[in-house]
Amino acid sequence: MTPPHTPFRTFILKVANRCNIDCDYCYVFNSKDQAWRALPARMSVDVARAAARRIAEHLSAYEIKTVHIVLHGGEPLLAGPRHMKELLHTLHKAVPPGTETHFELQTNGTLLSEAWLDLFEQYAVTVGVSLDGPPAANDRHRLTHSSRSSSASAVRGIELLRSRPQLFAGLLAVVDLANDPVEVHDYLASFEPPTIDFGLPHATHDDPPHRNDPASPEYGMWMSRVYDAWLDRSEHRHSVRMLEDIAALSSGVRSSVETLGLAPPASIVIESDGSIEGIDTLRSVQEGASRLGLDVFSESFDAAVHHTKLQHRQHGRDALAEQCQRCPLLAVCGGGYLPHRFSAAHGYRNASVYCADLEHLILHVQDSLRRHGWSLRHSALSPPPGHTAPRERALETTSSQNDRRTR
Amino acid sequence: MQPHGTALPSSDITTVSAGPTNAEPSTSAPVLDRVAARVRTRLASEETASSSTGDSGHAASLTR
Repeated sequence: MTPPHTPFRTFILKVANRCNIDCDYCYVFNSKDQAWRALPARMSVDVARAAARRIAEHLSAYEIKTVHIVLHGGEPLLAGPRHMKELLHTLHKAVPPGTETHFELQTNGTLLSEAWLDLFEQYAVTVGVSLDGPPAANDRHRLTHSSRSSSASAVRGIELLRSRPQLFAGLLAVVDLANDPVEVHDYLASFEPPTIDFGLPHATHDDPPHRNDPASPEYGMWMSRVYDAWLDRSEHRHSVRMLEDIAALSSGVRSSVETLGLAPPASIVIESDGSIEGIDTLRSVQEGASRLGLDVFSESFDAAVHHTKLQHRQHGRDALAEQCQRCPLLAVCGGGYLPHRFSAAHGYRNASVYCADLEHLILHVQDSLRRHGWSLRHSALSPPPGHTAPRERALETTSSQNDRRTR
Repeated sequence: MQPHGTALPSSDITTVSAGPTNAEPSTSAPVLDRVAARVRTRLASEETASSSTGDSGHAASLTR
């Protein structure tokens, strides 16, 4: 049976398509897809107006009462405050009356100023900042174009943001095994963000993640230590999104961050030229993987909802590799993040390159929850007959690939 | 409160009652008590939501 199509509730606008720093892992600028080179440096008001009209049309058609509009990049602050104000005004006035609108922005934090915060206050824009940890950890990847540290300017921006806590959405970090997970977590927590989240480095079966020991679920172990550090201090009031989502999904919650769970993605990307993309991080997979061939001037978002490239996102477990469909952790893991499942040989019908890591982490969290009196809806106390443990499967796949890895 | 059904076949589920069910806050893990409260809110919110499958949020920004 064909499942009902999921409308979009989150619209990610690439308001700037350049960046003032040069993170070596960036899926926009330093990945296989170099589409950014042909895209406008910033989104024009004409594009924003067309996007706003399409968003309004979509919200009305599906009777959506709450919408998230994410100002994203590149570095969105490169759009400049005056231009950003025009974009926000255009978007704000197009949203149908009675709609609860959440404006959100993700930045490297280095360009934040009082003027920016005044603007964000005016439009109630909440701000997330990307930071990988203390300066030594952050500087492994997040350097400027002249190879200088970006840490001090990012921290200055975060401190400024803390002066208006209602605007502070949280901190987003990318995992690097070379960094100490407790040190990274505690450093990020010291800024008292409402939310911290960690992303696993983008990788595919053809280009697997770096591991020191291919036989060990090192990323799962790293995140498990973050979990322990999070629980370790009673004063920690922040959420760690990935970990809290594991707890939530294990308890029967269906919605989560798109890296976990089986819920269909409800977000769509509008590029700075008005083109519509599916998951923007698919740029890390291969040239053109995220492109749909649609734009806001010619098509409604319905064309994207029904686009063949996004159909597999609607099909939950049926779109997953057979081994994932049999896995007792499926409802929590969801097969892992789409880009991390890719191989040229089988497309997205693979277990995640982080399968063993996700298994380790989920079991670690679930074991802790049970010890603290939680009763879990989705757990794996004993695998079903004939089930191959995810750890064995994933490591069988990735250990040989790691041998080939040159990075 | 009991959340409604799941997409997984029953053979895959090892525990039937779901959620952070401890009635009294745990003194050993205040962080988990706060998580439990937020999870309960999410479960309650999904019970009244129109979507039967839930939504997933963008990974590269702090939105849900």
